[in-house]
Amino acid sequence: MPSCRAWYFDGHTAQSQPVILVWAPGADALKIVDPAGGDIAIWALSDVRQQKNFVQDGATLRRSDPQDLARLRVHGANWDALAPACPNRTKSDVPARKKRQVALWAATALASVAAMIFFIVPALAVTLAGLISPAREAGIGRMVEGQIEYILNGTSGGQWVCRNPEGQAAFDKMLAALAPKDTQGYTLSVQVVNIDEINAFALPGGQLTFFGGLLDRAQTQAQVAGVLAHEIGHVLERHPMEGVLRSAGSAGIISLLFGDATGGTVVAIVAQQFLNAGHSRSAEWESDRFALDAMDREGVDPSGLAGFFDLILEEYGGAAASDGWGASHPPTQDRAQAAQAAFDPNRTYTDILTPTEWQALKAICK
Amino acid sequence: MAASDAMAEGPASSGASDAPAPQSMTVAFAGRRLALFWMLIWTAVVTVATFGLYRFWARTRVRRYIWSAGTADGDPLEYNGSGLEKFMGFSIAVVILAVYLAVAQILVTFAGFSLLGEFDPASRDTPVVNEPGVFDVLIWGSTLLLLLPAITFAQYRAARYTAARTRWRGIRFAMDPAAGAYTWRASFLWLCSIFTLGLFYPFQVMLLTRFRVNRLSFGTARFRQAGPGYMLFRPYLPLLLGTVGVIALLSSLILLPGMSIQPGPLSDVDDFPIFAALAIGFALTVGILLLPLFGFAHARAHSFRRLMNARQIEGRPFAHCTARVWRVFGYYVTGVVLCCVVLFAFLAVVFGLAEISTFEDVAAQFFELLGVEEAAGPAPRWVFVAAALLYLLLLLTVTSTWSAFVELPTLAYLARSTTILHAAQIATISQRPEDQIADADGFADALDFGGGF
Repeated sequence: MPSCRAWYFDGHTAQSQPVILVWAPGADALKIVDPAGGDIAIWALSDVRQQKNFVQDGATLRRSDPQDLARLRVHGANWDALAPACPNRTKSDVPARKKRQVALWAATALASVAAMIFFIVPALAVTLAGLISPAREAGIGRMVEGQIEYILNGTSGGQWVCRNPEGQAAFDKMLAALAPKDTQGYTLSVQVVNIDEINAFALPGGQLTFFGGLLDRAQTQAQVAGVLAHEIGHVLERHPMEGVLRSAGSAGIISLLFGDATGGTVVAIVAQQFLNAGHSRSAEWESDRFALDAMDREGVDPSGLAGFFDLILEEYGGAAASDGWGASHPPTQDRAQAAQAAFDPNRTYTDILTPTEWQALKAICK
Repeated sequence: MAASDAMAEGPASSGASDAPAPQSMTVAFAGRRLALFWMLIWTAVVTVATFGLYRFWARTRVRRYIWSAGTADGDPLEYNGSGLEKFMGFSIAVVILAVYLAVAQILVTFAGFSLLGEFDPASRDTPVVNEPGVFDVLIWGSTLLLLLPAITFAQYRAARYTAARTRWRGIRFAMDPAAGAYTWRASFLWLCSIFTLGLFYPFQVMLLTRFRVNRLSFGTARFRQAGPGYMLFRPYLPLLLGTVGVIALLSSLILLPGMSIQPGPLSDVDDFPIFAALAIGFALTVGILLLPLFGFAHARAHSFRRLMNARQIEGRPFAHCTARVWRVFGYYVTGVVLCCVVLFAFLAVVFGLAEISTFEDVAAQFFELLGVEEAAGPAPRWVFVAAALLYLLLLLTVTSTWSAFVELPTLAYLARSTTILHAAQIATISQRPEDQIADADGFADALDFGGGF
């Protein structure tokens, strides 16, 4: 009968005990024998498991029941002889009940994260945004504007604003025409900054900001009016504040999910982009609808908004057209078509500004 | 298994002289640097490929390696945690933290906004509190106040889980359930350290170590951490002095007129050879890091020695430790040199492949990649994907290098320098019942400090 030396730990005290292991080929029994005589224990060979152990030579053996903490230490050559007799030595013994429990908790975690990100955080953001007074919002907008000016232009204190009085007067007139009577406590104002890009944004509190490049390249008043009405929509729907609060709430959750430093942060940032983009796409559609209503009321050609999207496509090409989900704005062509659909060929559309005023506005940064 | 010889010079021999068995047992650590390095790299790659899901199993594998490399009296430690239970613990933690963090952060931001002054669009004056700096301090401060209890709670839970999954000779370790009491203590002590600019930190380490060790047991035997609250002040002194020195140096640079560092016009550096810049950067990084490294090594080795020599089990001294600062400092220096070699060699290869030889080339290549040249809007997505992957590769190579070539030899050295006393009494310690910790170290993982072993 094969046998070898080993050390036995009974699982009850921290005593190390030298023993002899004896096993017979064909029999499912590993006898643990005291060298001084007398059996200590008998383990079934099919019940023997090898404790996963990466460094020590030989093996630490246990039985399949995880509650049984008795251990055997068998050294190198001895273990090589014994190992073939232990058929289930590498088998893992995870009970099915445990697996079901894990699946249940994982599903609960996913559900709670989804509920927070898609329902509770947005709802909380909308409610809290409604509690911030427009004047306070304007304070926040002022702060954000300072940061944007510094990032985009490297200046501070509003040095990037184009201050041509005739142009500004014309833009104020357009704003007054397109703004609804009830501005919900917001003081809307519009400014043009000296940046040569086709873009515009609304800050919390009602400061609308246009880039000079947009006015420079606009072909009709209706295009500028469309964008202006769109930005008014953002302010009155409280999108800027809701966005800030929503990101504050969901950023923490997302970084929770991806955890550790190796890659987690990068994945979390990308996921945050996708999430924000999802929200802001629906906000863009909302503001487009607001703009088309306002233009309809003032008799401004709604295809102007479509014309603005054409400008973007012309300037930025495929990248703006092929936005997948992950882009912060809906596909530009879809929005252009929606705006074009509001065009009524039997109606006579008018302009808000006189030709002189329009020229002054176009040249505001010159 | 063969017990070691008694350490003649150790205080062990002065103890229970009537026991026939050897009086002390040696501690050893058999881990191999390269084996651990490849394990870290491989598990990190799989973790990235599975979007982080594999990290629970990765951490389990690494811990099993480290634990089983450590032996006392020739018998290895056993780590019995599993990836599956860590994954479940993480799920439990996410259910709770998702609600806590999201609601807390959104309320903090809201409260921050409510503190901001109102703004009259007619005037262009900005109230002081609207300055971005002031606002950021407000938000960061309150986020810290929200996170501190969560992090300290998670730290204790994680330590308790690790203890409960550690065995030696089949006997379980355990920590008492005391996460609640630990949370408020640790949060308060952290605030003390932050507000004293770190001067209080040695006392914090001592008080918290004592709290944890006093709740640790091996089988039925309880550990106790003796030693006064100021015991770790000396070990941390070089680090504290270094910190004060750096703060003084930085503030004098900012405050003294004419001393401020102003980057010259970019045109001056455009033609500077990039590989020479890399070499200078390498030398500077290593040089600058030497002083703080000594502070860290001193704190690590010296406080380990003092804590070990003042630790007790069942009322008897537990161990005798002779760890020296210079050895640990040596490992740290080697590690920093290695990590810098990895980092700068990586940069050199990237620059070589991109055919960049001067700073001007860097800017040109960068703008070309971003598509700024043609003003054609956003760059192709593969540029960002490639950059992110390169960044990840670099990050995990450097962190794995540090773990395998600094942490592992340091652990091995600290283990070797320690002798456990009263071997015979320790052999009589008996088993304790199992601790059920469903959340495993899930809170620690979710809050992103699962780092280290």
